[in-house]
Amino acid sequence: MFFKKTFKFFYKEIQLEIKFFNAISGILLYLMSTVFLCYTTLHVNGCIINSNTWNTLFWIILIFIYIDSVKKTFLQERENRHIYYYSLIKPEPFIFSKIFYNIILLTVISFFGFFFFTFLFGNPVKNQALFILNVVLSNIGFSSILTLISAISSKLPNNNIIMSILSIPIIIPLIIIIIHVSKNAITGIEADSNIWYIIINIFINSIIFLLIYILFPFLWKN
Amino acid sequence: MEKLKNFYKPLSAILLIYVCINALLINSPRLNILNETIRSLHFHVPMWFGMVFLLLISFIYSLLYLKKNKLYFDDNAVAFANTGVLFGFLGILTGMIWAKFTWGKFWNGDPKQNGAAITLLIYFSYMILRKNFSDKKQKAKISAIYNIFAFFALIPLLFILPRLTDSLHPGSGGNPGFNSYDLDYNLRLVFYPAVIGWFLLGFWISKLISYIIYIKRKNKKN
Repeated sequence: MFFKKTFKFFYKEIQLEIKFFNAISGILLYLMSTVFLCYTTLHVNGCIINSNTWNTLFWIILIFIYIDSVKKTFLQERENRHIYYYSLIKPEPFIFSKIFYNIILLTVISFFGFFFFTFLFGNPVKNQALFILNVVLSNIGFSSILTLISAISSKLPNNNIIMSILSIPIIIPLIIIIIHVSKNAITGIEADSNIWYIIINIFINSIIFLLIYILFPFLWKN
Repeated sequence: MEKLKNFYKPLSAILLIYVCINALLINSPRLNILNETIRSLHFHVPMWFGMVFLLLISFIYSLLYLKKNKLYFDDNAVAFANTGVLFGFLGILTGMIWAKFTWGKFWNGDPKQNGAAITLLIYFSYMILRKNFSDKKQKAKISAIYNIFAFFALIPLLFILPRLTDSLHPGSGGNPGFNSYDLDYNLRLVFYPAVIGWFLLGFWISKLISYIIYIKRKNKKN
């Protein structure tokens, strides 16, 4: 029952996205122009950036675009429609359908970002499989945290700025873990710590899922 | 019974008078580099223990608020979070002074230092979240949810990550910790009372703050 309802709502989100293509295309344009902005500001007189800068730029751009793209999950739909959903579905399948939809969205964004970065800056990554695994795992964490924060900030009057204020400090611990594995994947170091960091990442993701399962019903009742 | 309940207040005062006199006057071991800065142990380290315990209590009050739905628990949660942030701030300040004389710089980018700074950022955003509401019940509920989420975000930051990376702090990265030979018997005699004393002082301050919040709310109603 739970999975069926989750999947149904998830399918509805995908259908909406296909119907109104403007959201995803807008985000991709935003991503492309931000990457190009970095390219034009960094490649003055043919300077080449090193792998460390590549890593930092990649994640910072992605994180800011993630925040802007997840922001709309709860803000785009009007209050009335939320009341309608409230009568239709329990809170848990509702939030998890949103989270799964956001995972897909963020994965599409991150792959496009990776592609643009490779196109403009070149690809310094030595261990491609580890890098992509890390990106996909981090998307699960980011989408769950940011979806909950988006739900919180939709209750506030000036919710545009509050979303960034609330989410950036709280995702820093996750970023510390991700950036470590990402750096090792780029330099190609086969360290044991990579496995530990990935295990911690999965552990944190499962804790976040559990927390959202417990906490979201309180938020939804308002 | 009422007297027993308030027993911790004189206890904290006595302990702290004992600590403040002895921390400055007792014989300390003569060590290279550390010299007299070792006395910072009685002020800097208890701040961190205090901060973690106060934030834990704040987290428990937030859980209780979601369960019982009484504003009393919310007052306590915010008061304990406030004192926790104050302790964290003092901990960073004392740590920075100590780091200047032993490590050479005020800010060394040590994982524990960064973790402490991120903790403060997360709780500052909790304070800002609280400022944005007009309805009391909604404010209490949503900030309780954020507080629970924030506390779980701290667990990897404070307890897992410092163990995985090298740190300049005692107890990690090849530096001796508390339990090994370097913690002198004289120091122990002051250090343990200091931990208890500072924590009880924090508890006392937070209870006072929560009373103030309670009285202010009552006055507004009349």
